[in-house]
Amino acid sequence: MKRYQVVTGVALLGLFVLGAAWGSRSAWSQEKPYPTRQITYMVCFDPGGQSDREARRQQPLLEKILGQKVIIDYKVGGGGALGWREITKAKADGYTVAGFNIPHVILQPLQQDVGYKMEQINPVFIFHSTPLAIAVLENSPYKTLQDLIDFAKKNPGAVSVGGSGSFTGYHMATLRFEKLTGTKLTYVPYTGAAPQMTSFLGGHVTAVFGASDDLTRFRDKLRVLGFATDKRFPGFKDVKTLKEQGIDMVEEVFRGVAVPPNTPPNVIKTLEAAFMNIATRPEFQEEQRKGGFVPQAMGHEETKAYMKKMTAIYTELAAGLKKK
Amino acid sequence: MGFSLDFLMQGFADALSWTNLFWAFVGCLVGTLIGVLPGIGPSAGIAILLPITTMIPPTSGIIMMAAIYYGAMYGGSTTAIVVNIPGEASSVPTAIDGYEMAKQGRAGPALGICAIASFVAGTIGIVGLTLFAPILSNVALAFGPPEYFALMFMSLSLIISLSGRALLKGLIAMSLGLLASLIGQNPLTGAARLTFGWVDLMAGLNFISIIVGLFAISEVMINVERSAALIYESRIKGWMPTWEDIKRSFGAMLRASGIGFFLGLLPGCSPAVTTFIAYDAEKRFSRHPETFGKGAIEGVAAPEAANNATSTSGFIPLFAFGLPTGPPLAVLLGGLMMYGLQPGPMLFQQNPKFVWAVIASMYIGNVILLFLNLPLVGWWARIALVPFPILGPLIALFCIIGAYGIRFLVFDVWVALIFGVIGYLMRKLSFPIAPMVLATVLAPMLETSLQQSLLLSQGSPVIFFNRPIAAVFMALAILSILRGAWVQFKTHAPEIALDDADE
Amino acid sequence: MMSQRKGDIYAGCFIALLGAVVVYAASQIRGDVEERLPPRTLPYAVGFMTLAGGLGLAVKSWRFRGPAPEIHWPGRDGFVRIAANFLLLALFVILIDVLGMPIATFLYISATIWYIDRKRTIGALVAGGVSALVVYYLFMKFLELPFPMGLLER
Repeated sequence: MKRYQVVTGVALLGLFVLGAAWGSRSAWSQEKPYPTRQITYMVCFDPGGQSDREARRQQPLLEKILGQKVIIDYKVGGGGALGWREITKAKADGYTVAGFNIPHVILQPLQQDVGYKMEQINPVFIFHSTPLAIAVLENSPYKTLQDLIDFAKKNPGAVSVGGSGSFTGYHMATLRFEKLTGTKLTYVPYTGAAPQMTSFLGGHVTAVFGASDDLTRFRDKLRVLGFATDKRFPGFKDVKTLKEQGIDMVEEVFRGVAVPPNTPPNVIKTLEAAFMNIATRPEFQEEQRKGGFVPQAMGHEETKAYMKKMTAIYTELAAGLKKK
Repeated sequence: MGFSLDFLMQGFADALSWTNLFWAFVGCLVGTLIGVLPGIGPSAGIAILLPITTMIPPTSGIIMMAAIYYGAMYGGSTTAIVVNIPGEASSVPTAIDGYEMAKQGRAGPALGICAIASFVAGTIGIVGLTLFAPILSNVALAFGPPEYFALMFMSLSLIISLSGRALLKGLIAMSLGLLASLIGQNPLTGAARLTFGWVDLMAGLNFISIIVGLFAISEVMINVERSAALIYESRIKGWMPTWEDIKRSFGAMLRASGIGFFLGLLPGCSPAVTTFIAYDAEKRFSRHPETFGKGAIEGVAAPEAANNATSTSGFIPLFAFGLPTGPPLAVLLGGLMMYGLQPGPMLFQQNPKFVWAVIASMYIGNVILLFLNLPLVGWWARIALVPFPILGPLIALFCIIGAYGIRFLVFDVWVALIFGVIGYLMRKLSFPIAPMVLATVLAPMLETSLQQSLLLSQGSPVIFFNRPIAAVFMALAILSILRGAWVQFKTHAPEIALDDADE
Repeated sequence: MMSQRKGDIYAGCFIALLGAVVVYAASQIRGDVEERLPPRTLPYAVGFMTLAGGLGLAVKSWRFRGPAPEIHWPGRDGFVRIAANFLLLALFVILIDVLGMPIATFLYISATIWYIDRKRTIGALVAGGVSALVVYYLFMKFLELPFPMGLLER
């Protein structure tokens, strides 16, 4: 009886070790048909945020198009950097894709070593963008952009501008605005867009650089002074762009998906086609516009070129920031 | 968006339709499950169901998602009471007295009181939501960075009373907790600190890993060490709370509901903060503060009630402004927006039928949850009767799943194991653990609000004292610190550090 | 066995050392952005607090003369049990990524139950199997948590 127990036990422990040895034999890679099993879609920001909502919206459509289950997985931390480091290290087989956004993905490695390099981000598609705009509360004494600039010039540092995070699009927009208008503002970072807008609506900061979707949501409580876009934003037709007001800056957050470096071309093609299929559907675009987003449909090559261009711009800005 | 009985009645009529009732029930069931299970919190739970918005009508969809959210609050403390695993920070105060009660054979009554306190607080919360939503919605906006700092500072001063007689050890535990949460990137500037060049540490230590390690893994190790036959040996004294229990804790439920309700209006003030405040308030209010930490039923009722009231009042800023007070409500907001519903004052005017149906469904949901949870109490309590050689590994498995489930990184699991060792040593050396958890929970908010306030004031700390709300909290904090110091000084405790603290 | 006094002295010294390390690490933080709250301030503050707390505890215990309670450290077999359990747990964590969650769960639960209580061979296997099934069906299939499948993939 006793021996029987010991034997079983030893066998069990043996299995444990054997399993370890067997499993560690890594699988070999080859050109394979894709996709043949479930795909993990990594969201690098909190559940309920723009990235998450978009992923959830795409999830059932992706499943239909690709014919495989798509699972959403949160890798949240470090302003997105945690998830982006994971994607650059994941198996390059196309079964892990991650949402990313510009400029965060470019700015993170510019600030410090975050465990991935900009060149390792392998974009597949960009599906929408949210332009930034400067806004004050509806009951604010600043009726026009010029009012705000005049006041800021007379009282350096007295105008506080809320934004989401440091080394983010919001932060860069404020810095560029300061540079172009020759003012000194106080940039107050928040841990996300939700606390940023809450504090703004409570009157704790003078102005915000806000994303178009948030500004659309609270449009009856605030006054937008200028959009950092090339053309006027369709949701706010009567609001001038900053360019029209003599401040030459464009600042938008682009969201898309990326795969690990060295992912086979056939996999990228399949994914690109799937996202293109979704992004060009009229009802999908309509939903985007209603929420205050600008629908986009930029493929693999186009996105790569765009990222290269933006990297150059931000590298210069960040260098100026570090010198201070 | 004012209250009108007609709207509410119409809401009940809608909520009681078979479809909506069905989805409310499904939500309650899934919520209870999510609350009990490790590895999945309400935010991920609701997020998984977001695509379902394409299949069922908006009212049913939101009713179900809301039910998952408040349903998860019911089950959240089950493991905290029965096996001392607080699945989230908000259950830590419940574990203090709840697990003590379980060890005395009163796990059933503790769980029962949890269900009742959740029901009472949930219902009070909805009544508040129904009647006062328009008046209270502005509370969320009144809190800027200085007010948050003052509130967090006051909460941190609770450590003095949480530490019991081991004040020095409590303060050390607090420092360790602050230290643990400083590791990684600064929440605002993203600058790395205390990572020693280790990239894995950049995103910081997650407090779920810390809690799971400190409480549960160390508990398993202690039991393994003494080769226990059962996790705690005790004669079971009743499966259900007695009338005496309910009478004793009813006042605590009401007071904690009030505290939880008001703090729940503030975005970012998580249930973890409110449960600690409610627990401490009850301890101060009680005529027998010495029973706290030794199985006082009020110590179980208060945090549970605060937890549920907080989660319910969070719907006020959500509906009124579209401002989520925490991650689960952010997901719910996502759900609303996917249906094309814009929260805000216009929501009440344009979609009154929808809003009031959801509010009415919450009254019903709480009743469903009470009847769903009370019969389960006996079964949960019986878990402790499972022989420890089987239960111990299962608890450890739950810990691993919980830690792994945070963001599916093995790193978080290792953190939990390391904090298991730290927790074991802390227990052996009688360091109190709760102050460490509280410090870890408060630190990020404390740091961000301090940083933002100093930016706003251009470096002057006067900002914490010349704004009325902030000044009140600062005064309370300072009073509480002075009182603690005075008590220490007066009692001449021979060697506080050598006294037994709450384990 | 060790008296609580001695334990507190050691703990105090260790914590003070930790505080010192933190203070040193804080001095290495560089600040890029001009800020109102320099990035070094809080780490310094908490580091010094830890250092002071540790020293305070050590000194206070050192000066304490009186009947000190004992700390019940595990005996030799207790220590072995803890170490073995901890190792099994660590091995489990390593195996999650290698073998996948369900298989690793089965092995961990069965092996640990068997280790703690040798009389429960069958029980251990049954508990391991049931846990693996629960992990697979409840967590991975029903709740869609992306745990690694390991060997069971495809």
